[in-house]
Amino acid sequence: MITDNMFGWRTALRIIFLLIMTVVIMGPLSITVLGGFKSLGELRTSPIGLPDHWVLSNYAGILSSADFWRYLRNSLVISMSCVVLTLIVSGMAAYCFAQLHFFGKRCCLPISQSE
Amino acid sequence: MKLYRKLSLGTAVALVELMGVAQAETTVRVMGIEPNDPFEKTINQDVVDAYEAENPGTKITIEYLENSAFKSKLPTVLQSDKRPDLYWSWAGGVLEEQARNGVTQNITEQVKATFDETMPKGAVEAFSYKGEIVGAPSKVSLIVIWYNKALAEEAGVDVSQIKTWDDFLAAALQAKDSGVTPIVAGGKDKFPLHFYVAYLAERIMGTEALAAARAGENGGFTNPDFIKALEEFKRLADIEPFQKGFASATFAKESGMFGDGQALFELAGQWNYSTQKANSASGEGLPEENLGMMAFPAVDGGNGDPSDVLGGINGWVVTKDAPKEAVDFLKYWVSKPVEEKYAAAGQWIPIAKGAGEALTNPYFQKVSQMSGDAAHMQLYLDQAFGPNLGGAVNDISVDLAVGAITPEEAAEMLEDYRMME
Amino acid sequence: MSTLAQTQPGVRKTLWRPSNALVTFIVFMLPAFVLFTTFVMLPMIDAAHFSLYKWSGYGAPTDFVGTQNFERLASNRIFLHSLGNSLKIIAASMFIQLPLALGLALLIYEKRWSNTVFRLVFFLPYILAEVASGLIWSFIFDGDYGLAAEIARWLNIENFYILANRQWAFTAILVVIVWKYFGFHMMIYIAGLQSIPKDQIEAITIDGAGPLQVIRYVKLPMLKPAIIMSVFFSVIGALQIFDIIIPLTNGGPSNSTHTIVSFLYTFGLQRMNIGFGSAVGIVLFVCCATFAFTYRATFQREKGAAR
Repeated sequence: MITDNMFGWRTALRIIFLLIMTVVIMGPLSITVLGGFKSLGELRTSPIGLPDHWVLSNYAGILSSADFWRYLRNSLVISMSCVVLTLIVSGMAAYCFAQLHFFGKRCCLPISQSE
Repeated sequence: MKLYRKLSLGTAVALVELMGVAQAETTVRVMGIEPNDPFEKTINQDVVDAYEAENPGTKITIEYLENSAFKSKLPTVLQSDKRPDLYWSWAGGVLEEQARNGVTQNITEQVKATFDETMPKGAVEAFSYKGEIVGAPSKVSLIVIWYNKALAEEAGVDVSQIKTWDDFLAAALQAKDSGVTPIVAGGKDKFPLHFYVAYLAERIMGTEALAAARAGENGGFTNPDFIKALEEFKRLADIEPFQKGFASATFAKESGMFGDGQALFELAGQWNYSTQKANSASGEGLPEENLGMMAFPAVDGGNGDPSDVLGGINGWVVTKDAPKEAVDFLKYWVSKPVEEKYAAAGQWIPIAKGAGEALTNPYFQKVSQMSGDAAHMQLYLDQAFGPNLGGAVNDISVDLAVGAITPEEAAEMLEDYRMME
Repeated sequence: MSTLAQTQPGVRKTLWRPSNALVTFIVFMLPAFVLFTTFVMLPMIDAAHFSLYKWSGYGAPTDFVGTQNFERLASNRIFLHSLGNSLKIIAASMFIQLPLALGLALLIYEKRWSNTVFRLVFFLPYILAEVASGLIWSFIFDGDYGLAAEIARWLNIENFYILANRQWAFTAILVVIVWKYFGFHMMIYIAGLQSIPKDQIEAITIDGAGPLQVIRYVKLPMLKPAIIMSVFFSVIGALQIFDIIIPLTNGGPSNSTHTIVSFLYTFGLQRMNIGFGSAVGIVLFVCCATFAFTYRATFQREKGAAR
């Protein structure tokens, strides 16, 4: 019985703590999302809470702007090529570090897992 | 590939020249900043279309970059062979540095005769380096005191009686005593506070003595007159006239609070007419019957002319190797009829003589007149002194406002920066 | 190159003779070496070179000033202050962020759908752009309309403007940093915890150990590599904090909240002192490199001793 009770306490505490953390995280994030629906003035005078007037032009402006999609495409191209290049190049280099012994190996890696 | 392209281009040009036909299409590339008012882009495009229609064979392309992206990209792009033919500039120390390193073009011969006739001398000088014209000014901004008439009445301040700096301090004190926030300032952005230091230095020393201090003459910034200017600013700061938390407020917040009617005074450019609207809670700003504007007061015993103004000049610079078409387009762009279009749209105080008459907004009309009447115009110190010393002026302005240093320490600090240049 | 040798015995040994190892080494290392040289080594050498000049970024650096930039740095009050601020970030990461991340990881590492949701939520701030985080929090800390103002009203005290306060502004920044980055470290710990064999935990539980003892004697020791790695990342990360500072305080009030990198950006790049900025960059690099190698040497030795 006692252990059951303790288990219940623990679970309750755990959940309360996690929920508090969730609020701490989601609060600021919701300000970002809702802020996009506010006018410049309202964002300044009431950053927290729901907008008085839902301003759709901010999001609409971004989504309908050709620039935005071009930037998005640029980011996509850069990040994709970065991932591919990094995977190939560092994969090859990592093989050398993991499988071969060579002079200066120890100096090149600040953290090595394979010792 | 590149060599091939160059060769073929060379051949084409040679051929065209040989045939004496000017059919080769020249492209003039312009690099500017994303304007605050998108409408400016529309006018730009109209201007470009009109020019292209009159000048077949020339094509104009304008690329807009976000303000800080523009500033960080400029040094690299100007020193590469991808440099634009015309670029946006705030004149001052940065332009000087660019000209000194030869990325600009001397266009004196092509434009001097025209500009002498159509533009005020000081504005053209701002776009000159060692007497050589390198670009053309297109618009001017002036720093003025905005005030809230309703709050002035509430605080019992008669703004029309503010003639001197002492009057201004007394008004600030009276407002504070009657529970009205005297001044809003955006200390986080620093530059709004530097306007006070700059204006006081201009009023107390005069523009020439200020330039001499910048050059290190008469003790540089430890010159007693410059210290006096800092002391006068300290006198203002000691009243604690700024809104609470001003050290963490941006300029956007400053102008928004003013637009909401939360403070009596705001020292800002004429552009604040629209920013106080855009940033206010209602989006409307102060109703015009409450929105007042006046010149920065005189300082008793100061050497500067009370008509002198502080402001900024913007324009376009011609880069080296830019084709002569670029200069031709620039002349057209800053000509009176074209500048009138911008003025009529309501955002610009144009520089071309007479174009200001196209302004319809009464506040802008007044500013345009002040600009015409001014004996001297001092460029914002953070532009005029270059980014390094200018940045230091901004720093000490905030430090003085929050009471972190004394005027003497501030002067020493500036002088140290100056000596290190 | 003569010291190249096979390490793996067995099948590979018969297939790969030493000469092949040399070929492998060259072929596999070359791309990384070229990229590293072009994008890391050369810019660094450039920076070291520029740091000896007074240079605005225009024209070629010609005004050789020797070590003057470094001397100015050593006596620069604002720089020393920003160095201190960077140390404060390291301390906050060590003593607040990592324990928090570890605690949360222990709570939600088990594979359950509810834990997946929490994990996702806690990781969100890390995904959000730094500049956006800074901006949001500047709204929250706003003494007129932000959450700070609500709290002041609720407690019935005078509005406080924490970002305008030279004593407290940096504490506010630390809060944002912990908020933003703890999720990343939590993920490292979760990965570590999930790789602990279940039978080990079961074994000690059968022996009568409570949850705290399981943590103390099994989970923490097994997490050691993860902790070593996360400390490493948080120190290097702390030294490089930049994007958050600009929208929050812009380094102010009175330049009291700069970090090393925001100092570099403001006084080196924005003010066009590329030579001076490069000197800051070199100092930062030396700090990071010294830490990285000392850290590695320390834990290498420890491992060796344990064996």
